Amino acid sequence: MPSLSITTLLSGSTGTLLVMLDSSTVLGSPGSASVPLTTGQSYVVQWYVDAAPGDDYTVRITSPEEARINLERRLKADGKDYGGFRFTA
Amino acid sequence: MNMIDFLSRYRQVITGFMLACLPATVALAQDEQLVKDAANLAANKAATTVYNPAVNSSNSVVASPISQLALKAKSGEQEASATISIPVARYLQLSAVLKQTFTDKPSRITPLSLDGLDQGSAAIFSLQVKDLGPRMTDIRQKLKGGDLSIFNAFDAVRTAYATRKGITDAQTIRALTYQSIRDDLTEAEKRQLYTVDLIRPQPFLAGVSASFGKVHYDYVADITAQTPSELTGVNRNFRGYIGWALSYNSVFAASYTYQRKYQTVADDPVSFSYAYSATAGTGLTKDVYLGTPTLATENRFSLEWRQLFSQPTTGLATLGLIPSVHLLTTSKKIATNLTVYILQVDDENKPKGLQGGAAFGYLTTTDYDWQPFVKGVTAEVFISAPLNIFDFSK
Repeated sequence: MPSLSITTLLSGSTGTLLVMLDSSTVLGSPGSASVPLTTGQSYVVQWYVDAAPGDDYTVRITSPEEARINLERRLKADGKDYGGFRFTA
Repeated sequence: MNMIDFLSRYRQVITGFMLACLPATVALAQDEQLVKDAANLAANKAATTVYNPAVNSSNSVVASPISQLALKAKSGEQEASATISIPVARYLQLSAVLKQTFTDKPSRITPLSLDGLDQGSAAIFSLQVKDLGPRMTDIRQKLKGGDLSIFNAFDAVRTAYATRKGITDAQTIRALTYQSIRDDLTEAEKRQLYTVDLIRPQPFLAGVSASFGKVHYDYVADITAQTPSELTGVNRNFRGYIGWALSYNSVFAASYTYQRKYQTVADDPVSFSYAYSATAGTGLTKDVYLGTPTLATENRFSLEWRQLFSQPTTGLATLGLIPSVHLLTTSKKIATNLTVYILQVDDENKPKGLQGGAAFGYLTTTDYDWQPFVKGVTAEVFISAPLNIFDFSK
């Protein structure tokens, strides 16, 4: 059975880094998680960051292959960012 | 070199530009005083003007020092204006407007001469603090509620962005976040993100402005006068305002204006015949005001709401409504106004062709007494500049 393996990092000591898989919260704060997936099913993964401008954040998904991403960003002036994508396990 | 010096030095350039562009811009025009109270409708010939499309609302980039030239037409008179806007800091913009009203064909317009402002002209200087650039909202609750509307809108915008940029690698596209694409979105794409409330305008704007308008009166002091007298002076307005953007289609503002201006007993002049000389008998006729114009001050407190309405299917602006109420504490009057803009925009929501509408007002008598509707109401149709609901600088 495939699983979503995700790790998020936030360089500052305060802030929000939320990761959602469809309507479920996978990570409410920086950390790692692994979530079982159903083969052939479509999912939407989204993340929302709200931290200090200049902070760095990372979203790293190592599996499944269809969702692989290694994102590292530095927050601009408003300190917020959003991203997400759809994939089929 | 101060602003007056700058404008004086380049007045011929400005005037030349205005004259050159008049035929082409007959269809357009600068707005007029959006919050014009009914008390000023008859007397205040020199109104104010504005620039800019409904959605070109954040900090506009000014490539030319003359950022707008326009001609405005309404019943009985026309008005040409030139606007110079200079961003002096990221959130700070300095503007200067020169305006000239005229009633005939504009064969020559000279808002400034070596003597300063010419008759019927006005100069407005304003400083506006404005940061309406989109800011991401706190979307945590929407995401936790399983609302995919934000994702769907963002995914569509990102796909369009990637296509436009020729990005085809799936992993690269997945890594495109809002922050990485936001500075290169089209107006239509931004609208998609506004719709799902992923981003909103920064709500705050504020500013101050000062305007100076030259006026001239021919008048007779009383019924015993044998010849008309003349008076030339400068009306002055000083204004401060603060506004809150409720969305990119809606803004609420409060302002205070100190006015020092000449006023006449009657709104309209009367025809007066008088002798050319003591021996030549009755030979000349002139429109004059009865009574000597007096210099009066007024304090005006205003509340104003600017709202754009869009077609539900396209999101393109079609109508602008500006209701406002003004409390004139010195003359003890209340003025209410409703300005209706009919908007024509292109696919990018930028104005095209004629822009105009109608303005309606109602004014109480002194001591805030209501008067019969037919006496207190005013109405006019205008062809004017595109409405920018975030521009209070003029």
